[in-house]
Amino acid sequence: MLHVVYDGSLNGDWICDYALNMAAVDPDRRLRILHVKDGQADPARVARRMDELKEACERKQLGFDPQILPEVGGVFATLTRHLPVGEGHLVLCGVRLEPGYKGFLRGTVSDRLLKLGRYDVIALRVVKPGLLGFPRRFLIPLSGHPRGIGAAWPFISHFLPLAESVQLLRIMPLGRMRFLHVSQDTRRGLKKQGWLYLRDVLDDVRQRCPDGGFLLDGRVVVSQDWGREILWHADKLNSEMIVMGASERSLHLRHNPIEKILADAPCDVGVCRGP
Amino acid sequence: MSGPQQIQHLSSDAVFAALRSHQAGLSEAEVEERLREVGPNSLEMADPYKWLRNLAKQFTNFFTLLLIGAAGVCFLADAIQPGENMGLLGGALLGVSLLNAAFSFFQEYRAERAMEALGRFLPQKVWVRRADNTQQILAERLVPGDVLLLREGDRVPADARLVLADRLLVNNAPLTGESQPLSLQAAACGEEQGASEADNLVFGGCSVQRGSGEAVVFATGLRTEFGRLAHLSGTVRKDPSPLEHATAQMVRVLTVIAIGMGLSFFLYGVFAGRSLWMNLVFMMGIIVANVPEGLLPTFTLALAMGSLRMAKKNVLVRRLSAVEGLGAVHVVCTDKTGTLTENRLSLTRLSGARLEAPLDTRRLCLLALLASDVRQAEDGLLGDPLDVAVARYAEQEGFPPSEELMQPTHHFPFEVARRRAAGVGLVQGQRTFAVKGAWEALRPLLSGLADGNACLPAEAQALEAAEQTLRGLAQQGLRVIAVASRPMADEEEFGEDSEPLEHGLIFQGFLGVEDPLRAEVPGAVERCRQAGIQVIMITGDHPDTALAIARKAGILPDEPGEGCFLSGDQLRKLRQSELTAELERGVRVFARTSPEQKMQIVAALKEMDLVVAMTGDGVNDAPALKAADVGIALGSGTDVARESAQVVLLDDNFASIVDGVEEGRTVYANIRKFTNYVLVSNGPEILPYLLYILLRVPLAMTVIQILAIDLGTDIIPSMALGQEPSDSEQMQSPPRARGEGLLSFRVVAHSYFFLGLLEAGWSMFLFFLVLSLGGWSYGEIPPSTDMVYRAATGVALSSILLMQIGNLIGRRFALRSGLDRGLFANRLMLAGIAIQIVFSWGVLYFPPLQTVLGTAPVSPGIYLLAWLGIPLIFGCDYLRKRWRARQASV
Repeated sequence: MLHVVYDGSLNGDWICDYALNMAAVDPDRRLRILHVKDGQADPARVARRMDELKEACERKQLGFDPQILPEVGGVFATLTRHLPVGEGHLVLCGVRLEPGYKGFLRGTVSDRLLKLGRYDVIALRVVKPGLLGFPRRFLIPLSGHPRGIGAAWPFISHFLPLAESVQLLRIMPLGRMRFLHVSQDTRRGLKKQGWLYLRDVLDDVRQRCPDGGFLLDGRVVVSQDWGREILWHADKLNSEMIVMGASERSLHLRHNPIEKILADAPCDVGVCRGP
Repeated sequence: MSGPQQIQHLSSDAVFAALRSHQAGLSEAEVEERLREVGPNSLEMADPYKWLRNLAKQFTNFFTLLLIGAAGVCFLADAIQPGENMGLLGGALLGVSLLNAAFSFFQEYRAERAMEALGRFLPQKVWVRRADNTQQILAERLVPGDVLLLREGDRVPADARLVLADRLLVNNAPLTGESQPLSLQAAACGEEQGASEADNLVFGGCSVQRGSGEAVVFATGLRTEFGRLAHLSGTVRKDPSPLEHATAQMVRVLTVIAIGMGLSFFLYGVFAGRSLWMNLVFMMGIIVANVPEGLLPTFTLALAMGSLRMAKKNVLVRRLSAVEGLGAVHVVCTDKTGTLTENRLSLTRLSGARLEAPLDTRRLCLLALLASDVRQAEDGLLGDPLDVAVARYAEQEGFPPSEELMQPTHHFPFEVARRRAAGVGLVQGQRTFAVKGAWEALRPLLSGLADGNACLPAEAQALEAAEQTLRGLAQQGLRVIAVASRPMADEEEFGEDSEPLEHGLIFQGFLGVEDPLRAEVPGAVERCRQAGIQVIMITGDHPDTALAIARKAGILPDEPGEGCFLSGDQLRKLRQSELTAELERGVRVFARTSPEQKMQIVAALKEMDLVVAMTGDGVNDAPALKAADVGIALGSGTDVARESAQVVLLDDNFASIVDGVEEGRTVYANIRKFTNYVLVSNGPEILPYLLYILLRVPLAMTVIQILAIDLGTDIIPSMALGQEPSDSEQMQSPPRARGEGLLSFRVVAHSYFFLGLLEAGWSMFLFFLVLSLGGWSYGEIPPSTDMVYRAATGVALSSILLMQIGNLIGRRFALRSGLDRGLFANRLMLAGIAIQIVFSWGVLYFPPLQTVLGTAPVSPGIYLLAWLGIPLIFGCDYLRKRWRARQASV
């Protein structure tokens, strides 16, 4: 079941576009919206949006379960009391509206939900509302985690039936000094190592989605700056959405490249983590 | 999932709801919220530290770090023991490192200018409707949901969905490369249409040619299609160039040697009980002696001189590394039109559905002109080159197009998606609707085919016969255009869209348009083949036309096998690994491709470890030019392409690329020559320090004297080697592998252990000879002011300078003497020799130089002995060459 953490913002509205499209192919065909009354959003606007969402769900013949929750012990605590744990639940949330010096994700409720590692969570930043929550070309960067595409799967599996392409990108990171001076043989060795990993992930995707009508492809690059590399490939492959996994470690990094990607991505971005 | 999916699939009313906007436009509060959320409509990425980071990056080069480290040691030594000129030396080393870094920084800064050129495609101010008011705002403040008002002459500031369109005609050339304008409307598109095929979207960077419209913005800044192009064109994301690879390898080797030797002998000195000062001086000397300080600036000079020579061959180099980069290419991906061909369209063949059927050529020409947009201007015919070719043919054949035909009642411009243009007007007194375009586009619209005076029904057999005719024409390298028409009743009405008129069409014939191959192209392609360089043609033309031109140019054999070409549609469905496999199998022609697909081809070729050169001229070619190892913009192309490329082809001619490749190879060969030349003097610079630490002998060469060679007297001779002309066999061998270094074991051994040792041996012999004649005995370390010691170091330095002359001449060829080419063929070489001679004399007999370098005069007899070093080194090296040549022949 899909649970949308709705903060009443414009980005929240656009995330709801995603949620509606996803709920339409979710086995539960039900959308649960959680809004915590923290005084930040205009209640009249939230009520209006809920009505619109209800109408949209009816049009798509989806179940609609709005939850306007009083804040008890902060937004995060309120949400965790109302979010169910277990398989089959996916939590959609947003990122900060104004990043300032804090960044888009760091310190937000979404950040804390991701770090908690209890739910399948995806934090979305929508910058191309013209897609109407229906991206068709995905870029999935891979860090080499043994789980492969596992973290992104609960999210992207909803879009695969009508996806055009899924591009997996394995980046083999090198420090700047090493990148400039490393020999061609070492580069080849790193790429080979990347391909060994990527082939397993590609096989995994094929097994998960044997009838996929989309173009599934992968590439391995050696790079000194994986954040910029992802942005560059998103442009090059004309991606409509970047779906990237986050780890406990990466979420705690002080200069987290995820923030750079959220800030500068040419398309919508989802940062996800599973339990 | 069903129902509307993306913005182009919605009805105009639903667009506002989807983007949370209103017909009256957004309120100021909504605009502010959206601005905060998605940022300004700008192509610049917010990165305040970009320049600082780029500058800092330039100091991460090993050589630069080594020089900075050495300068630090000098300043330390100066602080410990002032008055030994170590501070001055430190300053000199720091200066060289800063110069190198500043130069690289400037090079990178230039690369960012592509973004500026792209920025010129976006307007400064735009008209919008906000809170029910029409107002002009800064384009930067545009947000998704804004209602944009467009009119003739406007540049579109962002991607937007049309909700109102009145005879709107836009030019999408910056994005698609297609110069023909596109007619747009506001109605919803079919679900199968993606954003690129939709005719209800306007894109940032494009311009309104005619009409007006209202559109709701759905993407701004870098999230627009144009922003994507800008990011790909402006981002400096390059793998190191072949030369950077080669220098990095050389720097690595030399750094390891310098630091390894410096540290190990520093430790030896510590354990041998020498003072810290002496150990520091010693370590410094070893490092400075091992680092060819003048080499990197000489590289730059050699590349700059190479770029001047290339400019004379119509190859303008915008980034110096491309001079050598061209020489390293394994594959040249080239456009067809204008590069392989003359871009001079002429109508050479007209045919009916069957080649043998009689044809009314006059009527066919007039119908084609009716569907054209060509005007008579003062200086000739104006319009699309194809239309002009038809009009010119009509003039030549004696039936010049009438005024009425030149200005038909109505012209329906060419539409990329439909691949046809049309017109309504009078032809031979009859009101007629005529269509001209790709056969594939016209075929489904036909109800009959003209065959002489008869008309055959559009049945499979007749259509197949026409298709055979088309193929026959295309196989001759002709671009084939189909023409169809139908008579129109006087009262028949029509609107802005030609589609309602496209029924009952009768096929009238084919126009075969030729764009002749440039005469020099087959020869240039053959030179590429001999040089082991693959040539790949990428074109938007019909496969048969492309194959015919490729055969004529020699890119494909006369009887090409299966699988030598791929179409754009096939390419779209391929994974990168599959494309790589196709290229390995021998695909050399890509037909019916879009400029965007060039990047896909570059990526696959680079995945094969090949060095790729790519040509392009349009704005949308910029990303591919940037992604290639060597981007080559055509001189006649757009500013953006030129700013994104490393090389500009002034005459658009493929043969000039091959000339550039030859020049690039010559530059690399010359770089190898002078690297070898410069490293030879490292031997006599290092040996004195080794003897100094291992034996109780005075230091034969000071650090200042080493720098005088590396940064002084060796520079002009190195540049002279960098000026050596091309060898005839330069284009007879395959290109070197990506990542191959400048320094091989053979070069190091030859420089250090053969010629270096010869120079070191002779100079040390003279050093000890002068000391001995002056009464020196073993174990005695004279002070630096001692005149005998100064004379001895002077003659050692002088002999090295003279022996570098023999080394210089020998470096011109690997197996020939070097004298056989003649010294006068290279005037810079004469200057280099003169400098060595003058300085060899000056260090001994010119007082100001004596003061700076700490030398003193020797007797003329000893100085003459120093001259003997020239035949000694030249002769020994020549004997080695003869021996190697004999070994090779055996």
